[in-house]
Amino acid sequence: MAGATHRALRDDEDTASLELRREILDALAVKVGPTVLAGQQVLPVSLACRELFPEGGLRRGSTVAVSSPALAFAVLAQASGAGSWICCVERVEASTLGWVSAAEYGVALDRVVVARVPAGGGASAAGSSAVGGGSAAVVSAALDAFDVVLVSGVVLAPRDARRLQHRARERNAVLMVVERAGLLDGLAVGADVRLEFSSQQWEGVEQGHGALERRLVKVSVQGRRAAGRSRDVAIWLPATTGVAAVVDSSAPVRSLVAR
Amino acid sequence: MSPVNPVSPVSVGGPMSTVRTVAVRCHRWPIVAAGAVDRACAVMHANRVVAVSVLGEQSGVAVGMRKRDTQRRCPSIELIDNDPGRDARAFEPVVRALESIHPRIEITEPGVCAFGARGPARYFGGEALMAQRVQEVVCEVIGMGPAAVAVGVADGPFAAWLAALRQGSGVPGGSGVVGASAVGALAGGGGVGVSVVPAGGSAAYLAPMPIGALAGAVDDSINLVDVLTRLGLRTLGAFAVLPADDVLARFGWAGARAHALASGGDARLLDAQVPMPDLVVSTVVEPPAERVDIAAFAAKSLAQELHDGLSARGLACSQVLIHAQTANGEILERVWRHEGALSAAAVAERVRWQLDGWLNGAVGIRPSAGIALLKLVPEGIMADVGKQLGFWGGATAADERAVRAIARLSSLVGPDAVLVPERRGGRHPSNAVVLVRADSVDLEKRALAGPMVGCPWPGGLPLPSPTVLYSPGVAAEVVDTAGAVVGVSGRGAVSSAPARVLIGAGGAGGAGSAGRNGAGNAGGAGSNSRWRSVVGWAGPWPIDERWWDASAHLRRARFQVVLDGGAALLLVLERGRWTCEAAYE
Repeated sequence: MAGATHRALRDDEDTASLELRREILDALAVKVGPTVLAGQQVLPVSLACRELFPEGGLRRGSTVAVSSPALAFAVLAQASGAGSWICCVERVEASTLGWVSAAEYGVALDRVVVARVPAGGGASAAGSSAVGGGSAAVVSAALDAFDVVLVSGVVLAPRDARRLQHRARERNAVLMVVERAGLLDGLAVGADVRLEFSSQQWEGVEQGHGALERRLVKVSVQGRRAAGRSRDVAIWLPATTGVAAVVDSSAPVRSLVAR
Repeated sequence: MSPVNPVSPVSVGGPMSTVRTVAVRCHRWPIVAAGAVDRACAVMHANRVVAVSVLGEQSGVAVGMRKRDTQRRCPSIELIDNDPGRDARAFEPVVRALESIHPRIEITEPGVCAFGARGPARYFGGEALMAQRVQEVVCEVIGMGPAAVAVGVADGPFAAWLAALRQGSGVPGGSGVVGASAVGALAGGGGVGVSVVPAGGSAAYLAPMPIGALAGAVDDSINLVDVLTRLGLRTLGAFAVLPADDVLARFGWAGARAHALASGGDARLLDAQVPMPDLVVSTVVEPPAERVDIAAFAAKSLAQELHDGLSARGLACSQVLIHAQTANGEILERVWRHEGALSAAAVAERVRWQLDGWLNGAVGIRPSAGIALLKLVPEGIMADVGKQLGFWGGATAADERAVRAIARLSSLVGPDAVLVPERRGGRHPSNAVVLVRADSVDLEKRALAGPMVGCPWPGGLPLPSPTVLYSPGVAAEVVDTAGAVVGVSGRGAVSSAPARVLIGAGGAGGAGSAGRNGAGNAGGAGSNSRWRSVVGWAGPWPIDERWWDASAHLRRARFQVVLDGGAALLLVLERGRWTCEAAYE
């Protein structure tokens, strides 16, 4: 029956039309298909952050190093709103991330879990075989179950970092590291995408009056593979609306920075 | 009697398919299981009361109350942690005793069970007599009066369960007197705590019940009840007269099922047909498991196997029979009911409860050897309609995975270190959202209200909020162009404009500096304890908090400072001491 239809189709239609139908079918298959190749699976990011990623979103299984918590929140906001859970692994006694700020950037706090690892978790025993045993195990466990694992203030040995990157790839999770104080050199080398501020400029505060209002940042994007070429992207982080926003491309960026 | 059409719509299946069912319900089972009936106590789960003893209820404590309110109403109340395992364990002797009446007892949840009424009713000479006998048996086991146990007999488990539930509800002491109403008139026969709905009378019996009775009976029932109430359907009868097809079209599978229940057509079978043999999974435990956790571990993979076998055929089961056999041949079989389709994890959990009740039970019922064989028999097999998300969202796979992962993380770093953010109020960002223990909140039902924007807190910081908080602030120094420390007068006037800032000045390794790492430097300013010049500043924003309490009194002035290079900090001056409290990184 199906064969007859197929033959009839081939007889009646010319090849070009058949090709067209195949294309439509392929497009449909992508739409209705439940599975997507892991490499193509991408967590959504907001419009402002789309420029930062070569795939237009956070590729599952990738490792991202960011230099600022605000940037991390802005990048994760969309994915979190779409239902992804975020597990934040933080070091006890280190400075904590401001979750109020995260909520302002659009992170859904009801899908955030914070795991605190002990302060001695890995930094002290440099070089020994037990380096990072505690905190690396926690990050690894978090990667098993959460879409995004945000690591902040945790010192990981380069070997652990490599192992965790591998784990993230295996589990299709995104490992995002906030490396504010340059503590994570081992990971930074291997991160798939690395986002750093090359300049930042706050607006709103004058001499003795006003308040912080918005910030123009130039983010330098470096990375491996598709993100290989280093480039600079300017975004508002945050804009006056409180979330990240695209810099109006019609206005020259250089003059804005100079303001 | 409200005018309802008791004839159920054709698509429901009609009353023919329902089975006369006895439902047994022990009131306040978590309290009874904890052995605390004679005290004022409450069982808590996720900071809410799930069960309260009679004495507690008399002091004004009610189910659903928060811990704080509970203790305010009754300061001497004893709070007990919720433990479903304990409840199930304590219920085991009850089920064992009921097996003398009917061989197949189906456990809905700890404290509630059901079984077929036909056989026992004939043996004991009528349903009312049988129900009373059931009540006596249960009362004897738990050692309490008939007020503690309610028995309902009706067509189908839902009506029977409701008949048992209505017994004694509304009377605070749980005395089990049927309210003088149409319910009492319909539910003819039976003594205290016993109600028998005549055969074929379930639809009429259910009709005047409030629509809230559906809560917990189907998936997503809370939202369904909410919607129906807002549509003006306040009784089960009003819902039942709607055409079944329209209900299915509008509310999906769960709605259609709720409609069938409300019409008195509970088509689910108590004693399901014999399953296809290849769906039964079993495993030999070698060596025989003496401990619950070993057996439960085996059950976990077994449950997954069962689940895989069912889903490969597009089926789901509404009940599972757990068959455990010891090395000496003792057999324990229990049927567990689960509304909706059982997930693999849910099956494993029930196996654990049951074995817990057996292996750790009283000396008399404990088996003489370890568990040697475990078998799971799916019953009530139906086509798997899937757990489709309704209009109201609902738990996704990611949510379930995350909730399970929290338990794993807790075992690694301890329950005190696995936290979730919770909104509070406060002038400082560290108060506005606080981190609380993940196990103290109900993660699946949690939905934090939208952004904080729009609900101002007088004296709070202007938006945007800082992204990094230092909980003990990092010591800092702030000087003006002349090198004098900047101060703020009692009237809130700044002595001079700040010109330079030094972060991490407070002795060796300021509180926020990563002193352990040689390459580490003070995180906040990204500086290595060197003076930075100020390019912009705003403030002082004074705060005078809790002046009535000498120990908690806070009097401070806050500044936003932008340094050269673009870093922005929140600096605080308190008693002449500068600290960096937060950074806008």
